Amino acid sequence: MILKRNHKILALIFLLVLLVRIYFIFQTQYFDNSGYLVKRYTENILETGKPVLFDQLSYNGRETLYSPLWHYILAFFSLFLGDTAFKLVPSIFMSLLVFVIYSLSKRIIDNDELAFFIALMSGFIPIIFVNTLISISIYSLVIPLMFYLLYLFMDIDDKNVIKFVVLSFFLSLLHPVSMLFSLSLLVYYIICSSENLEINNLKKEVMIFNFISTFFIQFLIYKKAFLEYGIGVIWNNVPAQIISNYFNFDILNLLYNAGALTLIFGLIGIIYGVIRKKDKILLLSGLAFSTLILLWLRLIELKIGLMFLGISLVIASAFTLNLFLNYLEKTKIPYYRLSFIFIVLSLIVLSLAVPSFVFASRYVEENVPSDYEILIFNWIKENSLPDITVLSPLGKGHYISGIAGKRTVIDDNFLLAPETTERYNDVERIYQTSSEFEALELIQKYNIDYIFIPIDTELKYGKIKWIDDENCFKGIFFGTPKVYQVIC
Amino acid sequence: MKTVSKEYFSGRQKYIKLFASFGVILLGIAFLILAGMLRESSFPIGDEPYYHLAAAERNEIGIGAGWNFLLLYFPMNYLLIGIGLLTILLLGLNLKSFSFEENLVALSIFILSPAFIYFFNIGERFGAAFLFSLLTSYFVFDKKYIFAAISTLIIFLFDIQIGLLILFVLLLYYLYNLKKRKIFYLLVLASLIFIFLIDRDYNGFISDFGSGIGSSIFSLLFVTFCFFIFWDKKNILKIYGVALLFFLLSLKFEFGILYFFAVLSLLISLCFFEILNKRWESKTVRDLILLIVICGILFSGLSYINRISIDKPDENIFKALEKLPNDTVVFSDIGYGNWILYSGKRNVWNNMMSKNEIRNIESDLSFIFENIDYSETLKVLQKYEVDYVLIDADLREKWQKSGLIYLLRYNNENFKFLFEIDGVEIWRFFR
Repeated sequence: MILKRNHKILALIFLLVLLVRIYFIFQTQYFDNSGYLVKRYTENILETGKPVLFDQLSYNGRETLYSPLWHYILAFFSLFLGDTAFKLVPSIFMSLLVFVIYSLSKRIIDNDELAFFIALMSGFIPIIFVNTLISISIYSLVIPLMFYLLYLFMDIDDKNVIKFVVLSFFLSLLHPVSMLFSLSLLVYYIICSSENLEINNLKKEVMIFNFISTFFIQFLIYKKAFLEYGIGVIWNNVPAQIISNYFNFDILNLLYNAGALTLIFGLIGIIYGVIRKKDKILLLSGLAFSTLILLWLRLIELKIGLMFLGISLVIASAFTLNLFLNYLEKTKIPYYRLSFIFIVLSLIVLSLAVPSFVFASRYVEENVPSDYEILIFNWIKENSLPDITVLSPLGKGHYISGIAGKRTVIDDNFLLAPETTERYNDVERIYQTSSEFEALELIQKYNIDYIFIPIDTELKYGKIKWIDDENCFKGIFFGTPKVYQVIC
Repeated sequence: MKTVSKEYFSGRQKYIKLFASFGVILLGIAFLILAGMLRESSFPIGDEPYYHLAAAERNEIGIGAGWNFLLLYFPMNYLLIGIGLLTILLLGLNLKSFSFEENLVALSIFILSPAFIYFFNIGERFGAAFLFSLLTSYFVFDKKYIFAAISTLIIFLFDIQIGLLILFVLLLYYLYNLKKRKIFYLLVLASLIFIFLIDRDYNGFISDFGSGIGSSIFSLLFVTFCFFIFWDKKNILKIYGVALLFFLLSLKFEFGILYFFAVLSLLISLCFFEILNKRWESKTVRDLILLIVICGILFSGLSYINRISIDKPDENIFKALEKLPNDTVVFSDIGYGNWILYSGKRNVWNNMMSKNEIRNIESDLSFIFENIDYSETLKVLQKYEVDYVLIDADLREKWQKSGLIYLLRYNNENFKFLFEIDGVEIWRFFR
């Protein structure tokens, strides 16, 4: 009976999270920049049945290297749901996280009410909520899966081994971030060994399996990149200028994105758990520490790192809240207990839900192409030759290839892309140089036919002076953004 | 899943042993001919074999006289298959003190290693020298010291450095058996210092990470992982010590990787059976781990074969060189030197030159590559009596910012474009 009640509550939480997400995702019919890359690759699977191995549009044509599993999953759902699948499927996967977090929290604290509360919180962590809305992000499947693996690992027994093995294999096939999971198990092992804590043999065995299988699969998929970059593959060929910003750790940013109170309670939970040698918290701290290590070494993007860190802290905060509630029960002020709990929980909700909603509305508004931009992309698509190249800043590359269907000079799909650092520099130079000669040389270097100038680029670098030379550049659109055709 | 256990072997021992040995030989043959089968052209892979082929053709002693001599009488392909198979056989005989299963797995892993694939698919002299070093060690283990001495002398005919290495290893072995540990460790220390002091180009040591020849990442990881399992087994730790020495040697000497892999294969095999026989909570996990390790090692080997099978030279280079008159000087990259030599022309430099010679030429050629000073470039090319310049797509990319490519743009009285065969360009230089 209790089980049924729990299921009902969990289903309600799941529906609530899903509905809120749906509310935001359907406020726009478009996707953000990276969303268009996923959409284009998935559409290719729907058309040909095969993943894109050579991308004709990106970087004027380049080889690609990625695991197409996510695109196949999306293609499968697209068969029934059409384009809605791109919005709905990631949100459903992401909302499933509440079940995983509930199970994890329950295992840590054995308190149903608090576990429900933590599950609800996990649905509204700002950094995750925002970044998995309109990006068709693979992390909407990776995150629940990784934390489910963590849940399976926590109290692994003979029954769960096969499940763990299969899902661990699946995670490795899905995304290289599975290395983070392996690393967190390793950190957990190191912490336990240093604290003289016994790890049972089965745990050790599945850890070895996970480590070896993850490495093998990554190697199998990214063999070409390993050969090309050697060990440098871990930096993913990201331009040097961007990688230097990977670990811009702004504490205020962290407070906003992970939720201020969650951060405080989570950190207390982790510190307390490590001091008290609580096995389950040590496992969580393994994930938190390894995320921090990867962030510090600039091996993962800040927003990706914060996503994993955010959930780890939310789960760890369950431990702190449980301690706090137990402590209140022991005090002589039980009358205040309820109101006190109410205030704390409301504050937590406010620190998570409010920023989530604010950021989400802003994100949906600012990070999708405007109607005017869509008009421009469609015009380019219909009125230009098929194999032309359009120059756009890094952050708009996938719009050009995804919506206009034209070649780009640069986009953020860096792995195996040619000379990313040089290209990034050159693109920046074109927008900021005042020398028409230099600009024309670079335009010729990349065979650029159209120049797309978004408003933020103009705000960043000022007005491009040489673009007014009517002998070389023909203005097509003069609003925000502007588009010029290269005619000389 | 049925595992290959000792009990299973003992039942049908005779046939299984025969069948398994036959399987290893077949695996060896497959990995000795696969690169050639995958290759589109019939030209041997790499550039150093062409030095030996040219030397054999001209009846010159040159570097690796023994190998040049053999190439005079036997076709390179058959010779490589022959010494490859003999190497497998001799390695097996050297490992006979280990169990049959361990021996077999070690041999299979050795065959799948990039080291075996490289040296027995590319016609360098080191493969033959390695074969004779195995023969030496076999005679030493068998206490047939006169044969061992003869075999050691033969190694010098193939490569002096390997010959010296074998003498040094024999000395260490002798001191170890005599229990003269102080001198033994002193010599080991001296050899370590020597290895560190040698000035050689470092080209990476993991073939899966793009190094020309190196170890497979899976083998290295597996052995490193097993180090923790074998932590308390002194005898196996000694093998780790030997492997470490050969590993360090392989960082400075190309041939070192063969010796390193011979020891590494044994370690992997021991580790494999240690894991197999250890008590596991989940046998599924154990079997999957071993399966992944096998797949990883196999994958490394296959991907390495695939990689070397598309290595240069392609036949267009020889087609272009064929059109030039013999005994003229053709300038190109150092890696093209032996191909030029093989086609009957003279080169400016090649990989078989001594380090000092190469350094001297490099300092002269830096004008060509780093500057666009026309007169200085002409002077350097005149100094080396260059008649022709050979450039292909790869060199255009490599030298894209060099002065030479810049000067070649101007088809003037000193440089004249002659012809192009599928991207291989020949330019005439008028001195």
